[in-house]
Amino acid sequence: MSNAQAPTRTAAFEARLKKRYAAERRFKAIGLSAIIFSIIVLLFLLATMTVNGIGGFQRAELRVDIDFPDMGLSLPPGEMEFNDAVQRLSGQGLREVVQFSAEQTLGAEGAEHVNGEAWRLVAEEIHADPSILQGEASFWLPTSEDLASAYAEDGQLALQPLAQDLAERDLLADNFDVGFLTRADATDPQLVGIWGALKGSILTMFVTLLLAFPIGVCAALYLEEYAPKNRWTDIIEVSINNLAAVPSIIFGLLGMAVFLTIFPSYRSAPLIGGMTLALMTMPVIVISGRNAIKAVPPSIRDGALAVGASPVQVVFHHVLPLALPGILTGTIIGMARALGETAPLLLIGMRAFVATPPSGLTDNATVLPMQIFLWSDEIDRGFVERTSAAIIVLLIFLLLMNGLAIYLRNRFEKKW
Amino acid sequence: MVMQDTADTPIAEMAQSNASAEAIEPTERKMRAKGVSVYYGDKKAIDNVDIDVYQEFVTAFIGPSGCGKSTFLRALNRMNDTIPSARVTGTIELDGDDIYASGMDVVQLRARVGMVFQKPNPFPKSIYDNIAYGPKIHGLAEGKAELDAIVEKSLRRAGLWEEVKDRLQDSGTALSGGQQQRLCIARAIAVDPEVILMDEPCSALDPIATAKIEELIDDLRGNYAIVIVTHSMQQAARVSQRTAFFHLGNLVEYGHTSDIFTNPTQQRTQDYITGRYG
Amino acid sequence: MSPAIPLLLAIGLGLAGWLVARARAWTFKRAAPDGRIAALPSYHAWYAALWIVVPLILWFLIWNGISGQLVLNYVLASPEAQSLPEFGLRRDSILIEARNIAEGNAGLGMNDEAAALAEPFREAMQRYSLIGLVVGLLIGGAGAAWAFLRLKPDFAARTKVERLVLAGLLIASLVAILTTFGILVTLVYETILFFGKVSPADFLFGIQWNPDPMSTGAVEGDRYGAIPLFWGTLFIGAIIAMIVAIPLGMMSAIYLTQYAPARVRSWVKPALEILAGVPTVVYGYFAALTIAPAIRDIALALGASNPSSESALAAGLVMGVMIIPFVSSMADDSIAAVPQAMRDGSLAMGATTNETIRRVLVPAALPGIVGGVMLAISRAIGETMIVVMAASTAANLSANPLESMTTVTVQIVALLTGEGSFDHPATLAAFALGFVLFMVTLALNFIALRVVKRFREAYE
Ligand SMILES: Nc1ncnc2c1ncn2[C@@H]1O[C@H](COP(=O)(O)OP(=O)(O)OP(=O)(O)O)[C@@H](O)[C@H]1O
Ligand SMILES: [Mg+2]
Repeated sequence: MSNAQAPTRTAAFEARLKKRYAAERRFKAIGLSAIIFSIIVLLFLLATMTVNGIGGFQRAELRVDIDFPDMGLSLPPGEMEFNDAVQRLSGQGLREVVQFSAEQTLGAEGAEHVNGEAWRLVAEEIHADPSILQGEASFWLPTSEDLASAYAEDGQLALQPLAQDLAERDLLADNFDVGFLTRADATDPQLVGIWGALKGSILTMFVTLLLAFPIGVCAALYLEEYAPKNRWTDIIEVSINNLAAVPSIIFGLLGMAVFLTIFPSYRSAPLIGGMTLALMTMPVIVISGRNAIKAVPPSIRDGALAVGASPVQVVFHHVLPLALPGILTGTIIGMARALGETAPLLLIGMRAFVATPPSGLTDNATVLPMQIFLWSDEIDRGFVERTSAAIIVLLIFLLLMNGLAIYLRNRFEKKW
Repeated sequence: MVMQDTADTPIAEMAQSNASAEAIEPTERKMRAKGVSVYYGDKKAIDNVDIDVYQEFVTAFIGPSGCGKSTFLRALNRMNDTIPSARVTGTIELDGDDIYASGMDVVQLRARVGMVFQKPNPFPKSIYDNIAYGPKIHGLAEGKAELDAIVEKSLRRAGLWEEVKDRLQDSGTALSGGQQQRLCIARAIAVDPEVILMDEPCSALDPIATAKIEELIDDLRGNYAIVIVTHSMQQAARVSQRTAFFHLGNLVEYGHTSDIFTNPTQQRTQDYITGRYG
Repeated sequence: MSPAIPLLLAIGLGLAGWLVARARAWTFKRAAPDGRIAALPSYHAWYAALWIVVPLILWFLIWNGISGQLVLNYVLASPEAQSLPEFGLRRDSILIEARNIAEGNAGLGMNDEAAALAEPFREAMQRYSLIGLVVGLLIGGAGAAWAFLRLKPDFAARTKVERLVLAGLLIASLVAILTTFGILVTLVYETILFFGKVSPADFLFGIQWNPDPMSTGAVEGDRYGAIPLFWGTLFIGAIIAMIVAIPLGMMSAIYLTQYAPARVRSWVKPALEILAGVPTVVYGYFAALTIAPAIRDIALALGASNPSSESALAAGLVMGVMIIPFVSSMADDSIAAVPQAMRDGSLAMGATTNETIRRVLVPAALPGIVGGVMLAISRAIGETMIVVMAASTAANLSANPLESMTTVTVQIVALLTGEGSFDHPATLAAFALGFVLFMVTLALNFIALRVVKRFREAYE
């Protein structure tokens, strides 16, 4: 065969080649743009949340100077319960004192927009340090909702001149709101905090971990190390695989129909929420646990058996410790998923308005993602920023957990 | 050349009995490697190799495992490009053109220098589509009839036509190992290459399938330059006209197959073909 | 009784038993002629501890289950309870409130009846928790006695303990079956109740969805036609979301596995994992706050008449973005499972990379990819928060993505967070919807897992 006629060396072939390379470049560009699109969406999402959320960690506050010696307030020396102190101060007219001082500092119009609950903050500071009653002190107190939105130039047109004026005189400013991290839910966006929801999340996760981890690990150990190969084992496997993929809302239906029937008085308690989420998390732990256990080489089991260890000893002394990092990684990932989960909790009633942080597993509580959901339903503009701030807090927690999981995976990943 | 005759003959005799082609001097040099070295990262896998590959000849690469035969073979159609850490220096020419030159097109090069792998790797498509794949992507056939013709011709040349003509739509992976390997050879010749590289094409096959492939190689020789890597010295002796012996990344000896097997000039070659290592 | 008390009791008694048994085993060991006994002292200890703790905990679990009812009976028998309404929500809420007051969870409540009932509640609870504790102690003691009688130098404590450990492991793995079973029974039971009131045909094939949780009297079956919900679910989850997720996810996976340099891959993969780890409530918020209004504005600008601010498009798009990493990682795995030899074979024939991908790799990986897409669809149609926040509750049967549509999950949430009583058809309908959702996702997952498994085996 003469090479001159070889079909792969004709001009037509080279012309086609040009087209094929163009197709190659197009294809590659499409792939690249798919990636870039996904990354941009992620960045856009994070950016929107951050931009909005930074505002959520701040609130508009008015400066009020109070000249205490004139006001006739006093707190007896010595330790005093906060509530008692508040009651006493309120009895002595602290509220009016704040109102009066606000009028002095801000003028009548401005004083109207000091938040109704602001005097409590003053009481708090007095309680923390009664010596301030000896002199003059200035406080930054939250504004009313209306003034806050006027200051943000977002509605309340009528109040905008006032806000501008106060801001120019350095009496109105956006200050970092530490209290956002320590308060609970409220109806006024100026006064809300996420500690209540965060605490609810922590309690719920505690229950979830307490149930899902031991059960999950035990089930993984049984299936991987002891289970005979029979139909029952197959059924267990199939149900675990399916549970891992069942929509989370189905677990909510189960929790509602079963747990709430057994414990009707624990509606919206972390106990029930945690139990429901545990059912959801357990399969994840089982699956990752099994993979980790499978990765422990048989030679280690043989070695231990050869020195006369019983099968249970082999597993608990040798296999489990070696598989633990892998199991923990899977557990953290499962817990992160549970932490972000909302739908099942919606059904078992963890959507209550909870103004005081729960103090136990059976108290009314809500969780972080639920708080986000609840706030997102509020029409008040102030809640938009607060919602984003709550999202930032949630994402930080999730990032920390996932980071820990990745760290564990890399740190303990062994090649046998 | 018949298997039974040669099964227990010493290799040297076998090489000589294959002397038919030996006497003929090469008509045309197809590929030439000059000072070729191949690196994987910092590790040198091939060190400064010079080899000529001739049209209508079968060139065999032999040598102990890990000596770099596959590496060098893959350098000949730039399959090493697919390994990120691999790097080639020196020049390799195809018809006098440097294949690593910037003007050389890899796609066209690989269409001209086909390759058959150690393990048969038919695509998970029908037999027909396996063969038609190359002509289709390269646009070598206009219309269904032409494509059919190419498929039939390639399968015939690979000696597979009679076995599969009634089930062209069956999956290529459903064939036996030997059939799969012949399918892969048919797939390679369907694009009308000029050189065919074969990396241990028979190592996964039984003796009968091996004999068929060897016969096929001998048949194909008339139209192509063929390079074959093999672990079996008998095979090298049976099918090749030129043999190259590699050791630790070096080309120790290259020459007429009969010379390599009857009177090698190098002690290492002698040791290897008499089975002292490898 | 707070759950801490029995727990502490069990731990305390168990610890005591553990220590005593161990000490006893040590005395055996010292007394033994060759210093050896049948099992290590610690196994004796565990044996005793388990015999104390396990029956105790079982007892408290049982008691917790029945004492609630006993307390209730006691309270209902008290004279204060005679004025309670006969049945219904109000009666339940009074009882719950009274219990809360009695437990100290709530101050004085809204209902005077509740305050009056708190006292009998307190009495009853004290009484029954005392009974529970006493019986618990007896049971713990009995367990201890049984265990200690059997401790002997030649007692094979280890075998016994290990057998129990194995039983424990087995029970743990049964939890999964129990959960699946629980889900099935719950859903089937409520669905049957629902079909007692609304015929299955009306439910499955009706096209009017308009439940009224407050309605009384005869149930109009034509309010419970679920076709619009099924359609909305498919349209948002299986069509719009997949139109976004499949090409983007596939192309991302292809680019990452076939083109991207290792350094890019090591950055982009974690980024995609982050995208996958963002909770759906955040996506929902994003959809409702940013995407939905933007889509409505764009549609208005393009001249659409009256586009919805809760359009199916917004929910579907965001859901698609949420699924991208999932599809991408499934496709990534599937393509990676295709043997390198296929890729080499194609490249060696002079195929370009994209020809190799499109004509060899993707067809070879197709079963895995299809399985992955099925899993993705099952995820999308079961997804709740995005649609609850961004889609509407109005059931529309339309193919216009700018219209508002509702989904199965939205309706489950809407029906169950409303005011309907537990046996109202509107409440039951939620379970029937849940049942359909469960069966569909179950079937999708089951088939998908099989397909993927088969595919993996084919290349092993
Ligand atoms: N992708 C790679 N990356 C790094 N080193 C490689 C790679 N492929 C091969 N090598 C190394 O290059 C050397 C030559 O390998 P090569 O596969 O060419 O040997 P071979 O002669 O074909 O052996 P065999 O007869 O066993 O097939 C070996 O030391 C091998 O370890
Ligand atoms: Mg090789």
